This record gives sequence, structure tokens and C-alpha cells, in this order.
Amino acid sequence: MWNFIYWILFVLSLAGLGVFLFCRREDRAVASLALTFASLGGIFALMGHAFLGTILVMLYAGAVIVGFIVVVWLIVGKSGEGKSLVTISSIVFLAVAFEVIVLLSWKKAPFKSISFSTAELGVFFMKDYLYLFELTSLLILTAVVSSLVILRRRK
Amino acid sequence: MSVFSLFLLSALLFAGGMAGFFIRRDLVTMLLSSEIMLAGANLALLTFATMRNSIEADAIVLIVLTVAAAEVAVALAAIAVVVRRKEEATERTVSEMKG
Repeated sequence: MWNFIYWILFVLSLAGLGVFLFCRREDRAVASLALTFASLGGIFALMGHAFLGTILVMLYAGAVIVGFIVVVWLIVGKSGEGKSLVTISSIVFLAVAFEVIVLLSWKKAPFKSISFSTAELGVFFMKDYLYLFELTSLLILTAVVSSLVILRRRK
Repeated sequence: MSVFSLFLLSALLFAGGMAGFFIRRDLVTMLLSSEIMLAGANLALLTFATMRNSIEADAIVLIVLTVAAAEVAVALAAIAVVVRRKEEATERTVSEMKG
């Protein structure tokens, strides 16, 4: 059963990549990557890294891909092409729904081979990787401020 | 789910990302291709971590994901500015712009 789900996710991630590489419509190509990232998140969860799988789905299949689609629409809108909102929404919805099913069933998965929990990962960050953790938060703050500055700059 | 298939998927993702980066010309596709390459590398790292039962790889992958998201935020803002000024976003338009 879990092997079957793994191979479905394997094929879905490659299918998303294939559509991304060969589709001429940019918005569809970008939206297909939500499928790749959601499938990868499921594979992470099957490997026992459910927290990272969740982060991958939320951050990439959610925020990053949506941001890219908005930018693509900005470009496509200028060149006069249409927007297939229904297609993109259904692809993203199906990918995330499949991912949620996999993540919810994770406790019964036989591939759980990692012996630490998310809480232990948090303690590890606060002890051994504290400086890297703080540096990363500073980097995110800098990225947010710099992207606002770039967007607000006048000629 | 074998280790070989995980490494195979990781290699295919990395190769696909590299192909997209070098074949396509528009900035959005190039940036997304680099994200795919990162995802492939993360998968390989997690596969090694699963084999060795190591917690360090999880921390590294989490930091890589966060840094990549920050990079995407800045890059999307830059692409939006390029589109606003030049009507298209390819690597040629960026190389023509002067800071």
C-alpha cells in the first residue's frame, strides 16, 4: 500500500517536472510545479521527515508557487494572453489534497525509520544551531525589507 | 521505496532543473529551475540522513528551504521591476539594465 503511494508520488513529481519543462503556457508550467513540490513533500513524509514535508508543501506548493503565478500573470497580462484560473486552481488543489491525505496517514506508515521528533529538532536548533537559526531569521528580515525597497523604488 | 529510487528521483529532479535553467530564457523559469535543483539536492541529503538516522540533515534542509524562500522573495520583486520597465523578463533584458 505505502509502496504504491510512494510510486504514485514518484510519478507525479516527475510529471509535474515534465509539464514544467515542456509546456508552452508559462502559468500552467509554473502551476504544475505545485504538483512536484507537493509530491516531494509526501515522499519526505513517507521517509519519516513529516515536518519537512509539511514545510515544503506550505512554503513551496503554497507561498512560492502562488507568488510565481502572480508574477507570471503580470507578464502574461502584458502580452495579452488569457489566464486559465480553473486549471491552475484544480491542479494546486489536487496536489495539496493528496499531500494532506498522505500526511494524515503518516503515523501508520511502515517507513518511519527516524528516531527523533519535531520537538527534538527544535531543541537541536536552540542548542547546536542557535547562531545559524538567528542568522536565518535576520536573512528573512533583510529579504522582506529589500524586496519592499526594490518594489517601491522610483526611476 | 528503495534508496536507489530516491537517489534516482533526486538525480532526475536535479537534471531536469539544470536543463530548464540552461534551455529556457525567461527569468521565472530559470529561477524555478534553480528551486527544483535545490529540491533534488535536499532529497538526496534527506536520503543520506535516513540511512544514517541523523538529525543534522533535517536542520540543514530546513535552513536551505528558508534561505531559498528568502531568495525567491527578493528575486520576484526584481522580476516585477524588470517587467514594469522592460515589458518582458528574460536574461537579455536583465543584462541590458544598468544599476
